[in-house]
Amino acid sequence: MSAVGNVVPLVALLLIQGSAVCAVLIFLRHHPGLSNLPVGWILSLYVLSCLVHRLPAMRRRHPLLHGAISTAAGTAGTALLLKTQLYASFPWSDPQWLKTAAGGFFSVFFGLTPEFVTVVACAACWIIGGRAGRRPVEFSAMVSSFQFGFLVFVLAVAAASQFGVDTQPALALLPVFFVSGLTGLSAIRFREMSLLEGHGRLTWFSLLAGGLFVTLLLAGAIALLLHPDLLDRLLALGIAATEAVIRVFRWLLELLARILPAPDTGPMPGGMPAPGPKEDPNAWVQWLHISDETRSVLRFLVGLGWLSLLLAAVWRTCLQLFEWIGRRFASGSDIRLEPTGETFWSDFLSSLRRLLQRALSRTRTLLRRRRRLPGVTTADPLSIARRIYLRMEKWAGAAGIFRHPDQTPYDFLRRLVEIYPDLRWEFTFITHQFASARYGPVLPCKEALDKMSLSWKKVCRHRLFNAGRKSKEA
Amino acid sequence: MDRMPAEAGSSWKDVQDAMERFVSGVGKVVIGKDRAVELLFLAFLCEGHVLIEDVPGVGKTRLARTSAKAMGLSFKRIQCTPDLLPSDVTGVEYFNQKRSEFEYRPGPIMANVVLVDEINRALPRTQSCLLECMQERQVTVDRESIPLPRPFLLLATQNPVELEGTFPLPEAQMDRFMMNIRLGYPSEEEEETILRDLQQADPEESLQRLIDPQRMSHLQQICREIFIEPSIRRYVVSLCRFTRQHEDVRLGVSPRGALALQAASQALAASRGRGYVLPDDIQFLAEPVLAHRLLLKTEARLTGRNERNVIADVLQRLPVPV
Repeated sequence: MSAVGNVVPLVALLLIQGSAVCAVLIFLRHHPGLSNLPVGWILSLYVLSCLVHRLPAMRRRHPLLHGAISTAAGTAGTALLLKTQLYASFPWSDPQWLKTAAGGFFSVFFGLTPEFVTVVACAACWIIGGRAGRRPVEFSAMVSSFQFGFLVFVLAVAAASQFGVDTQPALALLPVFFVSGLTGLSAIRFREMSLLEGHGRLTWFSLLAGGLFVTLLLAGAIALLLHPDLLDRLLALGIAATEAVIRVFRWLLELLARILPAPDTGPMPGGMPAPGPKEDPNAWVQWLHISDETRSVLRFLVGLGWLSLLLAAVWRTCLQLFEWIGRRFASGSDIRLEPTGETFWSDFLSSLRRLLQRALSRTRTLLRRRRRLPGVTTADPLSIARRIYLRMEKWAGAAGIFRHPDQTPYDFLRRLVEIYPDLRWEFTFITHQFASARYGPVLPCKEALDKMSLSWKKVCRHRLFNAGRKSKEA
Repeated sequence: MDRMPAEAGSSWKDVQDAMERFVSGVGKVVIGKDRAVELLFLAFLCEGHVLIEDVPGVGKTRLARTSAKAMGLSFKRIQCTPDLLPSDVTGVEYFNQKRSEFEYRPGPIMANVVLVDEINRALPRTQSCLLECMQERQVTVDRESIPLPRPFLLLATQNPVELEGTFPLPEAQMDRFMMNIRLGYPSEEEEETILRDLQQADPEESLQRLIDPQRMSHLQQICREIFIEPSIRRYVVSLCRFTRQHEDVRLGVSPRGALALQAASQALAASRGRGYVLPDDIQFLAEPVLAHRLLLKTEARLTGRNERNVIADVLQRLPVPV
């Protein structure tokens, strides 16, 4: 029963994400230069990635080794796919196909090429598939994927209709998408009752319907905006803005040249030869001229930026609305919500934020170290213990478990252990050390602080591998 | 910050051992009431008086009697009735014709543990004679103050439902009780165990002294030395002050209540083998130590609120120092 309960949601998730990716690829295939795009093979790479990442031997690896193996396997799969599908006529022993493929990849600045789209699509499929394989499939992940997939579908169909492309194949995928989505959601609900417990468990479909409605509204608005003329205008606007900035820059340089004294062209003392003939003052700014190639690259980059921003914004809005609706449902007494931050875009953005925060904190630490006076090397043990505990609280808060102001550290510990039973020892140790340091007469020794720090690192590692995972048995 | 260097924590382990012995020993006689037994032992450690309040037949008197026996202290019992006089409690001076002088004949109050059964059945003046005993630990008979034996603990019981022919305790007296313990009905399994264990013989008869009375003062001294971090002390003060400002409360917790809560939390920390007080200790003891000291407004009572609700509300609204 549990195997079925695990397999059905996973297959449903693969179908949801796969059909959305497939719709996009089919749409792209209508581009004149992409008619030979190997859609089926790219999708097979997605399934393969999920299976590979689901292997127990793969999941037990160290994160670095895991990442290295995964990247190597993904690269090899992509290369194999390029060779067999796009360069089948080249013999295996001839490395010329690699050069041609690289050339085709970098020709994207002059228009979409099958090499570029294949590589990007393979990378995306490998990452998404790996994510689906690595993480446990939860209700919120399923709903988020369903919403995002639906949005992608609507965008693909809308764009296809706007650009005058045949929408029939994308629409044919819709039944697969809906059936797999609803089957997966139902199966996962029966498996774990994960999203809502208590009075609200019968109203989960309302939550889903609300989320879908909002997604549909957003997608409709985007589809209305996504007109070729409008895109052209936006791109032209971006180019005009860039050119205006360059013009201002050029004007400033000219002004400076005018203000500065002109060089003396008379004979130099000591019989030095006079400078050569005076050059055209505008000649040195010729490099500012934008060629058609550069212009097309700029257009492409600006368009890509706009599209990424739009997608990220829509996705964040969807997530926030979804969480807001969830909170409204969870206003009852015994309803518990799981976090929805484990989906790809959300985690991608949060990982970027985390990288930025880490860089900033490293910089701060470096600056602090430089400012620290010699001899003053040890911090207050209580502050260290408190800092670790507060980090743990923040970590739990990010996973949706907040300490209420009236909760004591041990009350909070009970709640944490309920939800993360496999981190029982680490949480208990950190809480106990913090409580004895905070409320007791004896400050913690260095060994205790080191152990606290180690426990905290274990907790962090757990977060990286099991983000969003929650025990429903509690 | 007034922090001390590390020291051996064996002293409060003694308190923990004593608590475990007491709870397991008394728990064999008073079945399923471990929390009440634990609270009673804490009161013993703080030398605080206890009011045991519940419906008839749940083991109030038995708990008091068994606890006194387990402590190995002298024990007297006063059955309160409407015709009980203060002199029946404190003792009386009578004229000894052989010696031709007045002599003091001690009353039942002259014992280490005094059980005042059904205290609300005594007349107010008899109840009032206990005020001095409870606070000053002495009695005044015929202009002479006689100290009570130490340690002195008064365990009173009362029935909250049968109010006919009773005299409610005044606030001053309620405030002198360190704790108010409610026993409640036993669970189904516990009730079965009670029936089984009491079928043949009463385990109370075979109960031996569990704690050396001589060591009691030492244990009390250990409890008084338990560390309280300043923020925890502020938490206790805030808790008590909050009850005075609460919208449902006419009379809040007195400074004596705050002192009692602090002392009880120290004893609880020691009995759990800890050398410092946690916010959990304060929260655990807030209801038994503070609730009976509150006087609610009539409108709050009419809306179904009681003292325990108010304490729970205050605990929920007051942030814990972290």
